[in-house]
Amino acid sequence: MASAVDIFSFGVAALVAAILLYGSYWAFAISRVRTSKLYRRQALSVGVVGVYYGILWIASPFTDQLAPHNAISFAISAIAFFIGAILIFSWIDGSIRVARRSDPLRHDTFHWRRLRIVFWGLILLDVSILAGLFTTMDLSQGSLTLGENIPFLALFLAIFFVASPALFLAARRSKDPTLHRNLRWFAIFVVFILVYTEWGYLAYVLGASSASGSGTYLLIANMVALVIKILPLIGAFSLYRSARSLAPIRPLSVAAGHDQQE
Amino acid sequence: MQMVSTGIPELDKLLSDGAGYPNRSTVLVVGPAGIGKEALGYWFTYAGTQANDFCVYITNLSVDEVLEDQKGFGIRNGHASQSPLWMASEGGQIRCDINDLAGLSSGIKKLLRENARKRIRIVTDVLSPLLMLNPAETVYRFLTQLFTDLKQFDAVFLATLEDEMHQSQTVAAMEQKFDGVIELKLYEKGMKVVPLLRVRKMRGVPPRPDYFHFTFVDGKMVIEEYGKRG
Repeated sequence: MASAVDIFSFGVAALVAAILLYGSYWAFAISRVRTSKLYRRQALSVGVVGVYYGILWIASPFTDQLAPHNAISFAISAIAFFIGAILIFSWIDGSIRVARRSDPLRHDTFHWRRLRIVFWGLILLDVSILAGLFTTMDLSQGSLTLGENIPFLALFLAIFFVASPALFLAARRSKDPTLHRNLRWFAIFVVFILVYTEWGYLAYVLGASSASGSGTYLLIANMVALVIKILPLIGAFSLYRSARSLAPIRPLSVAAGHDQQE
Repeated sequence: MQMVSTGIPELDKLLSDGAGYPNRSTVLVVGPAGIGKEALGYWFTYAGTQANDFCVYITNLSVDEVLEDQKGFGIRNGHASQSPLWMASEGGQIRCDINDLAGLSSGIKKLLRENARKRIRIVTDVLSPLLMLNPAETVYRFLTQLFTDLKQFDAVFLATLEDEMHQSQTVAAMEQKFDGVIELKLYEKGMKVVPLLRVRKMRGVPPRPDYFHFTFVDGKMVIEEYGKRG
């Protein structure tokens, strides 16, 4: 029988997924009315990120039940993390190109026009390695070798240490306040997702130890676990705000108001 | 009054019963980035090249970027004779340096003089970058001088402006400077995003405060009246 904690976790997961999918809806709605390919792609990438994480969140309570913490669930989490990283990179790539459009001096930050080709090449390499691993070995039997790990590590490090600073610099050079708003909210979303996925392990450990603990330790452990469970809600709200700030949209009543003044 | 086709039949009809922009006029298209302001410029130059007018496209982008953008609207400049003269940051016949306002001004004047016998269509997306790099007064003076020169020729000048990137007073001052202002904006109706167009003013054309819904379908801009005023 489901405990109160399980019901609470499921409720939070459902709410997070709903907010993410609602954010995606707006991102797709905005992408439909954007005529420039660059801007459309940027809006689409926000929408796809929302749908992806929304589905992950809906599925998370069930996958935890169906696949307990073993090698298979680790492989699934690693692949999910990898796909998430590609989607976030796709958004970074689109945003840097959009930022260049609104930079009056048209800086090619970090030679991004060429560098992005290297990034997408690395992603292709990683995907082909992963596809090869699926066909040649049972992922549940063991982890990747050091050599197989290098391209994945290189991608994550490059996104963190090259693409993210490039986006930050490109955004500073851009004079588009709409882009700034979108970047700010999406960055908050990414931070919360990262904090949650990394600290999720801490919550798991704390939760496991709290079973044997008592008194103050139990209380603190439960409170930390509760706060960590709520983090994705703030992340999801940030994605929704990021989607809404993809383009300046006014309420239709503003147009009607103008009409009446005239 | 002589009129010049916008290249979009629906917009021609909306402006002056099928005729287009007034000749010897300056038109400003205002709206957020990525909404399709440039499309009005693309079709205007495209229609101009078809009509054998002398067309100039002044851009802060590279020619390749503009051509790529144009393809999204179904416009493909085939032969060189069907292409405007490019004044661009990269790949154009003339280099566009937005840090050199005097050079830009003299370059346009030279083109006007050299093609005085033709109808001239000038389209530009450099107004927003110019306002970002220079004080608004400097750009205002630059436009005043340029418009004085333009009015001596059979020329129509169309510029785009990303209004969200500038202070409202600056946008208002720019709108005042032009003979015509077309506004493209996104509005929210329930769960929908609605792109609306409005002709804020156009010299010699009676004011039409109505909003029009616009979409781009199969490389064409479709404009329909959006809710009549009560």
